[in-house]
Order: sequence, then C-alpha cells, then structure tokens
Amino acid sequence: MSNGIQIQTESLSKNFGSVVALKKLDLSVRKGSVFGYLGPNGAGKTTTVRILSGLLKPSGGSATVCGYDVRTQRNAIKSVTGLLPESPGLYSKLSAVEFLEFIGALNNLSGESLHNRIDRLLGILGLEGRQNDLLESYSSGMKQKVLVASTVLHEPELVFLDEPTSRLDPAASVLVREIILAMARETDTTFFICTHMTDFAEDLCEIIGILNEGVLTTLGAPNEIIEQTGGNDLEDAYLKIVGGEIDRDTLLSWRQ
Amino acid sequence: MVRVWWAIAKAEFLVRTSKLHRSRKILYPAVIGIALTFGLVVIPRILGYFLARTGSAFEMILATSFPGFLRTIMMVLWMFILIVPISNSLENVKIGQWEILFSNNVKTRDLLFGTFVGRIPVYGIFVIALGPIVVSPFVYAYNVSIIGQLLMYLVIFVFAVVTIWLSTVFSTAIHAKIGSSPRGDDIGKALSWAIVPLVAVPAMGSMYWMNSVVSLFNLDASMILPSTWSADILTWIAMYTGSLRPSSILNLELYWFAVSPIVDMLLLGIFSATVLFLGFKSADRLFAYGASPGSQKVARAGPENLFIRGVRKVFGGRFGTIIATSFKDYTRKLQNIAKLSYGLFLAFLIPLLIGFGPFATIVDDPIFLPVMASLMTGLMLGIFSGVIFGGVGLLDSRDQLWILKSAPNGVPKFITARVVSYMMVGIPYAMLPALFTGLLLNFALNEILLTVAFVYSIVLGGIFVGVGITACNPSYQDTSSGAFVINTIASIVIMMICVIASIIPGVMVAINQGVFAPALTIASVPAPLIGLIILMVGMIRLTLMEAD
Repeated sequence: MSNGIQIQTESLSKNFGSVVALKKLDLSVRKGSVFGYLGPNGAGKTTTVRILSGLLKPSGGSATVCGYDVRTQRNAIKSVTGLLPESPGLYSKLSAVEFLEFIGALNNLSGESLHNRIDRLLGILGLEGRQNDLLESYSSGMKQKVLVASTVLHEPELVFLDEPTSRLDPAASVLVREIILAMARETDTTFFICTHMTDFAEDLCEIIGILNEGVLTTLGAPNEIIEQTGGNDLEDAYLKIVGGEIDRDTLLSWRQ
Repeated sequence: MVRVWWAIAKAEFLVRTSKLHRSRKILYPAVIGIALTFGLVVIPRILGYFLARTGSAFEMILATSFPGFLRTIMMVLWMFILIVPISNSLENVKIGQWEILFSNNVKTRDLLFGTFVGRIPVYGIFVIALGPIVVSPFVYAYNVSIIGQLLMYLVIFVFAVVTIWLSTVFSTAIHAKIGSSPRGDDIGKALSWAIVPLVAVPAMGSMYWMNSVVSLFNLDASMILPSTWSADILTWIAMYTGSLRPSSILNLELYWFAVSPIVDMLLLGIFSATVLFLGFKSADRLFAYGASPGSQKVARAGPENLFIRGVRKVFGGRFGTIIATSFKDYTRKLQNIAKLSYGLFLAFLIPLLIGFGPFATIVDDPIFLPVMASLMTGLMLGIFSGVIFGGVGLLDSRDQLWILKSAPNGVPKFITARVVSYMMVGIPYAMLPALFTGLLLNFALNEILLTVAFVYSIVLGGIFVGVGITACNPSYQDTSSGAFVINTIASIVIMMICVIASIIPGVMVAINQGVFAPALTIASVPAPLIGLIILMVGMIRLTLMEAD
C-alpha cells in the first residue's frame, strides 16, 4: 500500500489568511526511519506536523501518511500515528496512570494489557514511584516524560514528536533518544521529529530537512548537509543555512 | 529618579486597565467622566424624582430611618470594596513577578504600597459612582449644605482608601500563602467564588429584609463594624450641616446613636491607623513566599471508590474509563466544587425568599407558591449550571485539544463522556435544592418528586448549553479572554430564553387549570431540547475546528 514510504507530500501548502505557513513541500519519509525537521521559530514545522497528523487541512497540494490521504482519511491516520504536542496539555488533576489510561481509552485500548503497558512505560521512564501523584505536582521534565509515554502507548506506526527534549535534562534526553532508536530499529516505527536541538538531531536522525519561512531549503543526511555547507557540525551548518551568525560588535552595540 | 513604589503602582494600574489597552489615555478619563456624571447628576436626579413623588409622610419616615438604612448601605459598600479586589486578584494567582521585583532589590514595603496605589484609580471608580447613592438621599431629606456634602465625600473617600489598603494586604497574604503551591491557582479560583456569598447575604438582606436588618443593626453588635462607624459619622455630618430642627436632631441621636459621634470618629481613626501600620509592619512577612509548609505537599490519587467502579461497570471498558477520568478531573478541582456550592447556596435562598419573604404575605395561593418556588429554583440552578459546567471547565488548554484530536473520533468521545459525567454531578446539584424546596414548603411526596424532575431537566438544559457554547468557542483556562466573556454571556442569555420558554407554558397551565403536576411536566421539556441542539452544534464545530 505504501511501498515502504510512510510520508509522501507533493506541493503541500498551508495559508492562514495572507500568512503563508508552508509553501509547496515535497517530501518522502521511509518506513522505520528517523526524520529530523529543523527550522527557526515560526518556520512552519508545527503546521506541517498538524497537517500530516490529520489535525489540519492543507490549503494546497497533496499528502499521504501511512498510505492514507490527509484530506479524506484523517481518522485512519490518527489511528496509526501518535503525536507529542509542543507544550504539555495534561490534565492537572489526574495522576500519570489515570491520564495514560484515558489516552489508552481514546485509542481503543483497555484492560489488563493497557495497565501492563502503562506500568512498564512509567518504569522505563523512571516515574514508577510517582505514578499516582497528581500531574499538577510534576516538574516540566516529568510531564514531558508522561507525554512521551502517551504518544507511544498505542504502538503507532508513525510518531510525530514536536520538540520532544526541550524540557528534559541530559539524562532524560538520552533516555528518549534510546527509546526512539529502539522502536525504530526493533519495531520499524517511523519518527518525524521537530526540534531546535541540532546535536540531538545529528546524533539520532538519518535524514534531516531544514525549513525556513515555510520553504524546505535543505534535505539530506546530517553529514551531507555539513559537507555541503562547509560547517564544522550540524549547528554550524544550520546557522549558515537559516542565517543567525552575528558579529560581537553588534552584540554589544546596545550599551552605547 | 523614578520612585520604586510609583513604578510598581503604574505597572499595577496598566495591568488592571489592560482591557482599555492602547486607548487608555482617552478611555480612562472617559470612564471617570461617566462615573462622575452617573454619581453627581444621574443618581441625585433619579432619587430626587422618586422621593419627590412619595409625599411628605414618606419624607418624614425617610428623615428618621435614614441612619439605619445608611448603616446597611455602608456595610454593602464596604464589603464590595473589600471583597471585589480580593476576588479579582484570586482569579489569577501568580507570584512569579515577585521574584523579578525582589531580584531588582525592591523593598517589600514599596511593593505593597505600589500595588495599593495602583489599585486606587481602578476601584475608586466604583466609589465615585456609588458614593452619591449614600449622600444624595441625605441631601434631599436633611437639606445638607455644600460644605456638609464635601465633608461626607471626604469621609467616604478616606473609608474607601483604607478598605482598598486592607483588601491589598489580605489578597497579598493569600497569594503568598498559596501562590507557591502547585494547587495555588485552583485554590485561588475556588476562594474567589467562596468569597462572593459574603457580599450576597447583606446585599439580599438589604433588598428583602430591610426592616429587620435595619432594626437588627441597631443592636450593639453592629457597632463593631467600621462601616457602622463611618455611616454614623456621615449621619452626624448631615444632621449638623442640614436644616433639621434641633428637636429632630435630638430624636435621631437618642434613637440611633449608642455612642457619641466623637467615639465613632476615634474608632474609625484608630482602625485606619492600625490597618495602615500593621500592613506596613507585616510587609516582610507577607512577601515571604514559598515558605508555607503546604507548598511542598503532593496530592495523590487514592484508590477508586464504589461510585467510580460502578461507573466503569455500567459504561464498559473504554467509554467507562473516559467518563471516570472526566468525573475525577472535574470533581478534584476546588474551583468547580466552589462554583457548585455557590449555585446551591443561591438555590437554597429561593424557597426561603418565596416562602418567608415579601411574596408569602402578598400571595396566599395553594398553587402559586409551589409552582413559583419550583420554577424559580429551576431558573436559578439552570442559568448558573450553564456557567458552572461550561466556561473554563471543559478544556484546560489548546494542547489538550490537540491530544484529543489526535485520537480517532477523540473529540466526540470526550464531549459525550464529559456530558455524561456532568449529568451525574448534576443529580445532587438539582436534587438537594428541589428536596429542600419541597420539604420547606410542605409539598406532597409526588409534588416533591415532580419538582426534583423539573429542576433536573432545567439543569440538564444548562449542562448542554454550557458545554455546547464552550465547544463552539473554547476559552480554555483563561477567564480574562474575550471568548470566556462571550461564552458566559451567551450561556446566561440562552439559558434565560430556554427557562422562560419552559416556564411560560408551565405558568399558563398553572393559571388556567390550577394544577401543579401538568404545569411542571410541560415546563420540563423545552430547556433540555434546545440545549441538546446547541450541544450537537458545539460538538460538530469542535470536531471540525482547525488551528489558527
């Protein structure tokens, strides 16, 4: 059905009134791969994720996700994908177990198998001692871990992660990276990751796309992008592509 | 160099008037102008018009009973100025900005004083508009001179400023106590609702039981209230700067004044000085945030009770889980419990007012009282349930909506479960006041059951309307947003129309046929039906809604 391609877009576009959020995106993401989507704030990354996860209708072009059309088969896309939103939309008055049970029920999971899954996931993420505390008492990193768990709970074929490590400490970031790698290699799960963390993307992603002002400007493996731009690492290459290098005199000019 | 307290006062003023935004320089003076016109022109003319038409006998009564009336009015005004700022500030408990201020070496006294000064221009508007309600009747009845009027306004001004200071100190203390707790925002919102009945009781008392309240207030007990001291000072100024005969002054003094006005002035002076002194003295303690032992307390989810287990069993695995989590999420929020309690409090007042208030003596009809009490209880609970079950309770944030939308048919599943859980919460919410009404007014058992069913049907209408409107235009947790204000007004207006559409056929049957049961049965139908249509529209709109 999908010929090993999980995401396929052709001239995918989205406008909000006169604002162009995404311009003619052509993209293919292979099954079981980890795709990194980089770009400055407001570049259109979250808009792309929302279109591809069936939350938002495109203004133009076409796209299929796991073989389903983003315009006409949105419920089918939702049943085979998982989404980690940019900021935590948790229920403050539920515990981690209750919240995951709720997400499981929304995705048609229940019973013993769901509870086993919740217990194991919370154990892996180091939340086993706090699983019955209300989420209002969690730190932002702990909330993010619960959200990561909620995203993979129903074993989706494709996972969209919007800034998955922005609130995590280094140890938790490594843990999330290992979970992603294990799921991609062992279960053939595809990951589409929006991030600002270039080192995280360089370590983890096989293919990287850099989006700037709604346009996909660069696409390739991290080492290819570094070579093409003549940078030292991905951060250097990224700054050369999107612009962001400022000289020291400019940085101190506000003092005059 | 800018004084620190002045900068804080300016920031507080800008925050309080943020709705005026860019047009603040034009709109704020315009609001002051409107308040002044209302207070100094509109109120005196309206009162003068009505007082002139009531005749000399009433004027006589007015002249002799004014001191008691003024004590009630001043108490309501005092409560209003004291509680409204506290209630407003508790709607949004945040102490993060304190950290910024203290890191900039701001003294706690400057912070407290600046916050207080910043509030004066805002809450002062209410004083400008409401002050003349106190002064104008005296001007008319006692013929008070211009100097007397100015003195009266001065007393009101001093009293209002001291009260605003007191409310600033109280709200700061509460913020410091709960602000650092993860539950602080929820507790603050709950308190902002719980504090309102303190205003409602004297306000309703003054409206319905004026005579008894006034006579009650003549007792020595009322003398402990600062509002009574200031009311008596106002009376005293009005008497001695007006054109009352010496014999009338003597009569008033003998009848109303338990202590000399000099004592009142001393008491008010000591009270004001003490409040100001203690406020400044306690500034360091008030701003010692994060020190409360409760701030580190972690709330845990306990084992599920019999009711939740029953819900899971009745509704089955997945749907039962969504209903159970929705029920837990709603009932664990203190603000929801406070709103429900407030609605119940108002609903319990209805049969009391109808059975023992002015209506009871005017109309002595075996059908009128039960029908009226049931309809009014339904009206009160119904209108309120639109706000309690809609508004900010439905969705906490836009990201929560994304999580729901990312599941197949997530929104319809969630909204259905939310409505079912609200319908369960609505059972005791409707049943308790309906039972109270029936038992208090000696209804027969079948009439009590009918009343319960009628009130519940109106509450169902309120739930459907509240959820439907909020689903059409989600306001999330932001009570200051335009969406929240529009939703609240729309819910109230639609529920009023629904309830009126329900009541009219019921009342017609009650009047024409003089029967209780068919009247309530017919009145039970329209509200839930109209509500259901709005709910369906809301659910479809939320399902189709996209990002902006």
